[in-house]
Amino acid sequence: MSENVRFSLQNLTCAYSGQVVVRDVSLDIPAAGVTAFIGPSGCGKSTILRCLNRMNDVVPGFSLSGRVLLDGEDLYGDSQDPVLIRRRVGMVFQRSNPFPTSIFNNVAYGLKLHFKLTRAQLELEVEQALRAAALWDEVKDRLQAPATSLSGGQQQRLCIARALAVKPEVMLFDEPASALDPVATGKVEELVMDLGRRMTVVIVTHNLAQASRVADRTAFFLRGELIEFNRTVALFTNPQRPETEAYLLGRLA
Amino acid sequence: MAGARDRARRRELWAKALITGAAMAVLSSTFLLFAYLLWEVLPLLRPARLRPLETVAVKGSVFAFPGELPGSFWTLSQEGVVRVRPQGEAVRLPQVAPPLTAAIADRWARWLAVSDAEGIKVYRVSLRPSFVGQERQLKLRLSSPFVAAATEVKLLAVGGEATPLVLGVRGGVTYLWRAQGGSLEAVVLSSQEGHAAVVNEAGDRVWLASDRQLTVWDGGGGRLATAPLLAPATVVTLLLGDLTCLVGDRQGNVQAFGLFQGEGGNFLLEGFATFRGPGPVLGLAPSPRSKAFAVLRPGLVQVDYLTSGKVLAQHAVPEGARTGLAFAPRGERLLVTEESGGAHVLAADLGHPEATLGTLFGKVRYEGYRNTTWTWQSTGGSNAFEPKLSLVPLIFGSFKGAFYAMLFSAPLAFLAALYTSQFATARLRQWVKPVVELLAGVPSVVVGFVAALVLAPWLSAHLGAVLLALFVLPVTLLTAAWLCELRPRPWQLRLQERWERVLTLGLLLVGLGIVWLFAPGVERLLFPGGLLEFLHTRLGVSYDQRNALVTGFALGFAVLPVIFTLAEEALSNVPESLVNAALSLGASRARAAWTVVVPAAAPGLVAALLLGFGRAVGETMIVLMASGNAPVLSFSPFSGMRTMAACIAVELPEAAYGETLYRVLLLVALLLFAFTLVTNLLGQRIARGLRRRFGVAR
Ligand SMILES: Nc1ncnc2c1ncn2[C@@H]1O[C@H](COP(=O)(O)OP(=O)(O)OP(=O)(O)O)[C@@H](O)[C@H]1O
Ligand SMILES: [Mg+2]
Repeated sequence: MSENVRFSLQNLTCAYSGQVVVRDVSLDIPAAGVTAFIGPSGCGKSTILRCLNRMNDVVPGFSLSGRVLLDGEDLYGDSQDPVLIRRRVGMVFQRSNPFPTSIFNNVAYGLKLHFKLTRAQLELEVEQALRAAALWDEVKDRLQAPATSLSGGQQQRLCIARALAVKPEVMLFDEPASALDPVATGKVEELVMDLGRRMTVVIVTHNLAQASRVADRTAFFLRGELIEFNRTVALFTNPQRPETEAYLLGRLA
Repeated sequence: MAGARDRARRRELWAKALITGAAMAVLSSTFLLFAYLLWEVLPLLRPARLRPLETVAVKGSVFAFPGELPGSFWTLSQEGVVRVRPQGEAVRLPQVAPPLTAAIADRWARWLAVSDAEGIKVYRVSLRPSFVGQERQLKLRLSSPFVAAATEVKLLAVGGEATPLVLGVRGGVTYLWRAQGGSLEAVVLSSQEGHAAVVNEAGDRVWLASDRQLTVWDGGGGRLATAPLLAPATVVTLLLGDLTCLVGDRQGNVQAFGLFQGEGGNFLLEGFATFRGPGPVLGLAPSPRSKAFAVLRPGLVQVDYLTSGKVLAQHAVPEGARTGLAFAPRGERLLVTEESGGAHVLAADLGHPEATLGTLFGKVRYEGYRNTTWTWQSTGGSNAFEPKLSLVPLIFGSFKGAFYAMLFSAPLAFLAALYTSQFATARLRQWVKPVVELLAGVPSVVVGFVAALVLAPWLSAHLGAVLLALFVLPVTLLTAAWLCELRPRPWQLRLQERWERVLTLGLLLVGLGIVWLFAPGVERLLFPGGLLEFLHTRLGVSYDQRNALVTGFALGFAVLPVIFTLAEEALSNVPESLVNAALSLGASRARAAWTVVVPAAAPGLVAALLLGFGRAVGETMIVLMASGNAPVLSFSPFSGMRTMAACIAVELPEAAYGETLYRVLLLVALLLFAFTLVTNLLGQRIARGLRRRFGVAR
């Protein structure tokens, strides 16, 4: 691929307590657009995704070999600080996980962590992040309300706003809409596509229709191995490998 | 098939009934305990009461005094015959020459002085109950008299220990008669006419009130001190214990005076309280049991209490009652005699005057004290001792002990819980929890015993080193943390953790070593005479071996597992997903723990602290052994304390059922019970709210 490469996975192998769950994956994720990871449950999508911002560090027993490059730098090099990496690579989880505090404080959390801002600057940044997550109009009148008073879809968008507030270069989504109803899912999908135009977005999803709607490229994994990686349209209409075809036809569960 | 289902259902029913029954039993026993305590405490509020028992005609008698048996009293007729009622024994005073013109006795009727045709005669009276067959009767014994050949004397007072002292007025001059062999020798005490007087039990103080002043003399006629009076005195008496002199006057005031010894050994007579009432004071009688006294005014008899300044009870008597007023030897009856020859016997139930809201919680000036204090001193050497029942030192002591315990255990338990829940590996966590539970299982007697017999002497010998360690250890810990931050982070978590643990433990050991090596030298350098000596002489801080530090340490040891367990639970119940969110936003693990986990667990942590505090306040055995049990009101870490719980443990076995101390101790128990109940309920409520907040899921 000739485009700008953001992540480059080289022979990535991951294991939990010695049990290998991701085997020898090599993959270049371009800087532009949305990349989707699909595959049956337990095939290692989330594990690979978490390698991209070193969220696996805190999992006891996790080990990895191979290399993960971000803009050509080895993420697991000795001089890398995972804290800085996670600032550059934001993440949204499957289940919304707002902090048990106000809407405002949720979004401001990362800002307070990294920047010294005046109150006015903080308010401005929070507003921008909420606008970017298409949530501003719904919550602008109740910023001090507890985050848990929001609906599930709103909570998930709040988590997106919270991640966007620290201005990451990459956003990782791990099944962001799997717990939402169709309307909320639509909103989140729109958001993901919108973000894909401005930054690198990687999304794990079980929903093939969703992948075909939002992703420019799709990677298909099976039992820890990368089977196929292609432009979404190509992969869905003309799969190169029989496993891919079987999965798309629902014959692999 | 159906039988099996029936059996299963029956078993379920049984189980349900059993569980409900057990829960009800626990609840109702708690309630019963509360009700019992309340039942025993409430009589403290019972008001004092004077109730008329009988009125007896004692015509022709010059004197009447209540006896020790129910319904008994004795009279003295003008013919010099003593009659003991109710059995009617009559004894003639030895060597008496009737008719009698006057007769007086001391407060407890041990000395009887009469004025007859020949002069003054003083008898030693003993009236004791003894068995006559099956019946208890009063036996009267009269000594042969001490005699003074002085007629026309107005008798003021009689008293003394082995030999009598008599005061009287003759021709406007006040005399003091002292025993010389079998006769009495007169000394002129004052050229003025005294109105009323009293002699103390030891026979070495004579209090004499005249028109406008009260004067105290020693037994030999030497003048000690003088104080002015509000109005001409009518009656003088001494309260039980002979420390306070009461002077009643024509305007109805009763003034209380105390004799204090000043700096240079000189005496000061200080009036410290005045009880006012209508009309002249006709009689004063001290209670033989407490610091209460009866006051007779025209048409009214009152019982007042010195310490609280309160009128306990009052009762109307006929206007003509103006000669005699006396308590029976056990204080349960009051005798009011009339000039016209009637004697009114009143039942005197004084309630619990030592324990009022004011004396239990307020600052009180006790008899013999020159300032108001909060004092707990429930028993003393003599029966004249006034119990000082301020709960303030006990409540203060409980909170002081709990405070020092929390000072030691709360940060430690909190940090340990934070470490265990957030940073420790699963393996370490599996170790820590059972060990802490083991700690919780150490019997508190053992903890108290070790604290009192090992820790306390050790601490007083190594105080300097311990204080130095308080400075050095945080510094080494901070250094360790700083060094850990300095190191580049290998991404493997486990490696990093092990390294941090080794570094921290190593530095701690080095710190302790430094303290151990240098503490004696530093102490010698800074305090040549030793630290304790320095504290005492320079700072005026006294060092008790069993002090708040020792107690705090031992008590902290007991509450640490409570706080740790609850705090650890609260912290590890914070969903992992919140930590992940914080991490994904670029927070370090420590930052995430501090900014997300701790605030989210805050209610649980507060609950843990509350329950720990409740436990510390209620803990008995450890404080009993380690705190020294002195009810002092000092917040110094080097002084001891007496807590509510320890006080109950020490004093309840000694307290007689139903007496004031017994009820006050049960009041303390009630307070303790209420306090721990409230902290526990509050803590549990908060913890439950927390659990609801996160649901069951992690
Ligand atoms: N913390 C962990 N400890 C041990 N094994 C784990 C852990 N997390 C995941 N695994 C294992 O690794 C494998 C891959 O898990 P992963 O979560 O990456 O799958 P996934 O493709 O995201 O599945 P899903 O679609 O269900 O989310 C699974 O077999 C899983 O059991
Ligand atoms: Mg997954």
